[in-house]
Amino acid sequence: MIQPLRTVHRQVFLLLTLALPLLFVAGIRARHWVLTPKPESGQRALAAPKTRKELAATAARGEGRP
Amino acid sequence: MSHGYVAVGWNAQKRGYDVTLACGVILYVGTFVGLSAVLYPTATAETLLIRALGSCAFLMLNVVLCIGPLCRLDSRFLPLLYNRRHLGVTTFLLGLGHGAFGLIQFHRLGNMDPLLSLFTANRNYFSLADFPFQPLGFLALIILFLMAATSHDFWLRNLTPPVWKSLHMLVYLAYALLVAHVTLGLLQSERSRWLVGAMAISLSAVISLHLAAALRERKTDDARLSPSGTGYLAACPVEEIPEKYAKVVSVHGERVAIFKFDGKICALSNVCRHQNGPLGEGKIVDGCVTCPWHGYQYLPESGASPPPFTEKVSTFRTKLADGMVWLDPNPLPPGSRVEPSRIESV
Repeated sequence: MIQPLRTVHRQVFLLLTLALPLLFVAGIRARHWVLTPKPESGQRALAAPKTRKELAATAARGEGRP
Repeated sequence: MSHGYVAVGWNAQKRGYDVTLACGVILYVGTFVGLSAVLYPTATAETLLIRALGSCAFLMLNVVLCIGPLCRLDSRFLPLLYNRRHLGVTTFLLGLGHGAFGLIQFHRLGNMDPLLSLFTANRNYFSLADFPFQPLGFLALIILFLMAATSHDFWLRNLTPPVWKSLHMLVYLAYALLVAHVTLGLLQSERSRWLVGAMAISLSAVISLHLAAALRERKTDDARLSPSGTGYLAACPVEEIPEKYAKVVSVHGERVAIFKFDGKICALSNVCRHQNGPLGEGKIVDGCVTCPWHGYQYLPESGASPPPFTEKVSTFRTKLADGMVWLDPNPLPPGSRVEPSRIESV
């Protein structure tokens, strides 16, 4: 009754066992040596997160938005 | 035919589990926010909460994913599994908080709808370092919502256990999305080796525990039973089955639990009707086969739950000869009474 489900479970996990470490290593290797801001977050890397005031000022200037 | 809604039956174990869980979450978030506020005094409250809730949710998801294989490897972890759904729902709520504060912090101040902004603000889909990681977290949150919303037994009964389990296997997709979300998000902007190390350890723990459990399961599935001329299969020696426990064997890909108790041998399907838990890893309590996951019970001779419960599992005919248990591989309809084989007569 649940043998097919167990088989799918096993296959899914084998796939993840291969894919996730690859993704993790690729993601770490792809990191910028000189950090740049992530475009979508508007955060400055290696710096303290923006304050509410700074965020409001950024939004008012229309920066960091499409 | 649908099943009616029955409210969660709170008991001391459930309350204890949830109080411990709530205290753990409050302690983690409080400590995280407190320490971060000291280390990063210019950080906004939203930023601290985003990081505290997100890291707590991801940590809990790792714990949730480790509980299953841990229980297969060592039954002492079973108490964690009993209310695993509570952990899952809490993980979703923490993730929801993380996502909501994230939307407010990064997408609400512009002139675009925050959800639209979430999906369109960054379109660098061909760059790993600048990949739009936030939509990955959003998709994972949708999956966690589906799982949390259907976590009650009401949905388990109406959807049927196989469909419910298939739906809840989406947790692996959610986990993959969240590993990508963290790797392509936080770990791109934070250079701490501790963070990278913690992520590597959590990933290794989840993968290695699942692989270890799968290898152990495979031994049972791969074991071939030798047939006799009468159509019965040689299952195992009688003395191999501990008193009040079971030996699990695989017949045509499905598992059968052979229980020994009070000088008798009975065989029934290894699959609990509640959540497809492994009955053969449970034991006989008060004369009933008791599922190790949530305590559902079945009479070993008939596979039927004692009144007023109505769950039934398939039973199998057995016979004993030369100290061996022989098993008829053809399952009887769920709830069919079978005369137990008596060990004294061997």
